Amino acid sequence: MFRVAVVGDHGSGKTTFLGLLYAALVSSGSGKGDDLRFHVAYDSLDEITVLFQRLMSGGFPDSATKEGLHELRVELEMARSGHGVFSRLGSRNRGTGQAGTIHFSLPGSLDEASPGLHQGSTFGTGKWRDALDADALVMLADGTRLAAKGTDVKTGPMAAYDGRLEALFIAIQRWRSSGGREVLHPVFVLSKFDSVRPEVLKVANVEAKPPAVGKAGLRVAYAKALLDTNLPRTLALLQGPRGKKLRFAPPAFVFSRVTSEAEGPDRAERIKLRRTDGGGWEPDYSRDEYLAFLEHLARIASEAKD
Amino acid sequence: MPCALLGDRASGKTTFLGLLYSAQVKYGTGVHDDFRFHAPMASLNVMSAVYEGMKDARFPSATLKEEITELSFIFGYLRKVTGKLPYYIRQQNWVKPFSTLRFSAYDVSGEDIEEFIETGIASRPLIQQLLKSVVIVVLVDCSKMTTDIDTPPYKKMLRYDSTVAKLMVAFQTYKKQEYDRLKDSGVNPDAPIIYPAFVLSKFDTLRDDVLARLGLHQGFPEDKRARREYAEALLRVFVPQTLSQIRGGKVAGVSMDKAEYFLSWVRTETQEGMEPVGQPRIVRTGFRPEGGGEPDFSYDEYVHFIEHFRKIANKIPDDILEAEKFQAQALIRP
Ligand SMILES: Nc1nc2c(ncn2[C@@H]2O[C@H](COP(=O)(O)OP(=O)(O)OP(=O)(O)O)[C@@H](O)[C@H]2O)c(=O)[nH]1
Ligand SMILES: Nc1nc2c(ncn2[C@@H]2O[C@H](COP(=O)(O)OP(=O)(O)OP(=O)(O)O)[C@@H](O)[C@H]2O)c(=O)[nH]1
Ligand SMILES: [Mg+2]
Ligand SMILES: [Mg+2]
Repeated sequence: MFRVAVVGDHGSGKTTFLGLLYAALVSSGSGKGDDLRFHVAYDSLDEITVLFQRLMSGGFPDSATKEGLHELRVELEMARSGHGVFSRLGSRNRGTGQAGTIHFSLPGSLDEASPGLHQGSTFGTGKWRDALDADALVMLADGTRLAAKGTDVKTGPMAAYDGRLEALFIAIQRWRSSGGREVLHPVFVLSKFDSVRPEVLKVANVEAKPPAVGKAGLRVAYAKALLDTNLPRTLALLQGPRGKKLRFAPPAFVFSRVTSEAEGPDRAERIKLRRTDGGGWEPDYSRDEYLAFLEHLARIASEAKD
Repeated sequence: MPCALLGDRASGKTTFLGLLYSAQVKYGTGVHDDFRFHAPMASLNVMSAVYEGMKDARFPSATLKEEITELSFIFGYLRKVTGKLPYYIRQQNWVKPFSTLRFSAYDVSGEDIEEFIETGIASRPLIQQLLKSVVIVVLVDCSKMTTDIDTPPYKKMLRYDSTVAKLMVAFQTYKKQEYDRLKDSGVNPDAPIIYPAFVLSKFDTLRDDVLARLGLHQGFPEDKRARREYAEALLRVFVPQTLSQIRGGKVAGVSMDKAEYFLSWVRTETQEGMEPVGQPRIVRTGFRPEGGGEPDFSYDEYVHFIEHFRKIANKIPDDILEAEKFQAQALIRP
């Protein structure tokens, strides 16, 4: 089983991210092509189907109710890549085939779960165990909270989050110094990318839209232009010397965006839906990014197996 | 191996059974005697009463909770190739061996199934019986196919999709566990397989604007492959989770991807320029005031349905029974 832990601060877009990932799975798995097949574990279906219904009728996840998403376990199979959106992220274009079981877990919000975090001790129990044992760590970077280049790094809106991520990685390194998986794949999800403040992009001297999914090198440069200012400690740690046992794979980047319709006096903020090719509806989101991420996952998961 | 017929509240289950009853009477009494239909008394009474009502232009009334008894019926197909029959049957020199398939209808919005979906625990006998099914026929109600997002039918369809997807995964999980259990105990079982079929019910109510949106013609095609493409275009939009999990069965080790599609429609009277009030009336063919006449419905599709299961019955019969015994069995088994 390939374990993916999704972490981020409260409200950073974790649930939306997994919900859209499921929407991408459903649309490809029911689509005309046969390049993706997946199967959901029965235990995961209750939560994810409720979330799916919500997204498909234009609602963001409901954080007020007890309904939540804690995990998603899928069996994934993706066909050989090599064209169009599927050749990206430095992929070596080899067929991915059976990725096996992928287990996504959402241990909670990093900013709410961290009294003992800086010692790196309380992670050893409960749901955070999933993050310690993860094969891939998906970190949400809330696009609406990105600071513009040149702002004081230490007081920036993400400074505290950067510290928490760094602490989590140190905890993981310590946890695995004596055993466990030897590779960890970091994935940065730049969430709410539709709502990044324009001056942030301007000062970073990047285009309004991130490079397309096939352009691996350009995407890394684009993401780093934004994250170097906002998550410097985490990035430094990932690039630093490897620990005793654990090795960090080069990070992957996902630009997640879903168009929202502003809330009105008697209406909550909603997801804008768009027509699908087949005549139905789906959220207006960055589907290519999600498919590319799935392919990345399928590849690293099947590599982890051999 | 039982077969399950699944449908939501008011999805057209009872109507389907009534029409199937009528179709089999017409089809099964042909000269060949290679198809037979039997049902327990209670079910047979319901099905024939429903059909009688339809001959009077009426749809069945909503099935009341108290009335929901298990409706079931059995298809029997004459086995032609005696050479392939098991030895014990050849030995008995039966004149007419029939492969049989037993169907039961289930209401997915019924309490038993809802409880099972929520808890995942198959405590009730009904659910245990349901999970043993190898043939799963799902009714998808075309009158709820709308692309108007903020309407109750749109939301209902979303919910139905979730429910059926969960049931499909439950079937697959059960089959896989069963398979692993047998394997562990030293048996060499066949790879698990489920035969899904979809009935697009109330096809006559499918709106033209919906078809146009989906880029579909009005008529359902004849050709097998074109039928599948047409039906899947509808399922992709209205029950995508179900479709994805049926196709994904193979990934989990349970082959389920050879789905078949059938239509069910009944022509109803429409008054020009008037909104229908109450139950629609059924249009009849060959109608005479003194009696007679039949509801105008998709008879050919029902024949397709019957013939589709011939292949499956020959592959995985519930039972192989001699003609006389077959009828007797049908009547006594619950
Ligand atoms: N514009 C825009 N808003 C988003 C996007 N993703 C999330 N949001 C907004 O962020 C809010 C929180 O998203 P969630 O997915 O619930 O975040 P979360 O991290 O799961 O939140 P908690 O579980 O409550 O900590 C949503 O209600 C939306 O208002 C996006 O891609 N675009
Ligand atoms: N136009 C049209 N209407 C249909 C057709 N089949 C069913 N209906 C309508 O749908 C209603 C429900 O059909 P039933 O067969 O009673 O459905 P059911 O699933 O048995 O319903 P319950 O047992 O009450 O849950 C009928 O009363 C008709 O109004 C059809 O083929 N065409
Ligand atoms: Mg959440
Ligand atoms: Mg009924």
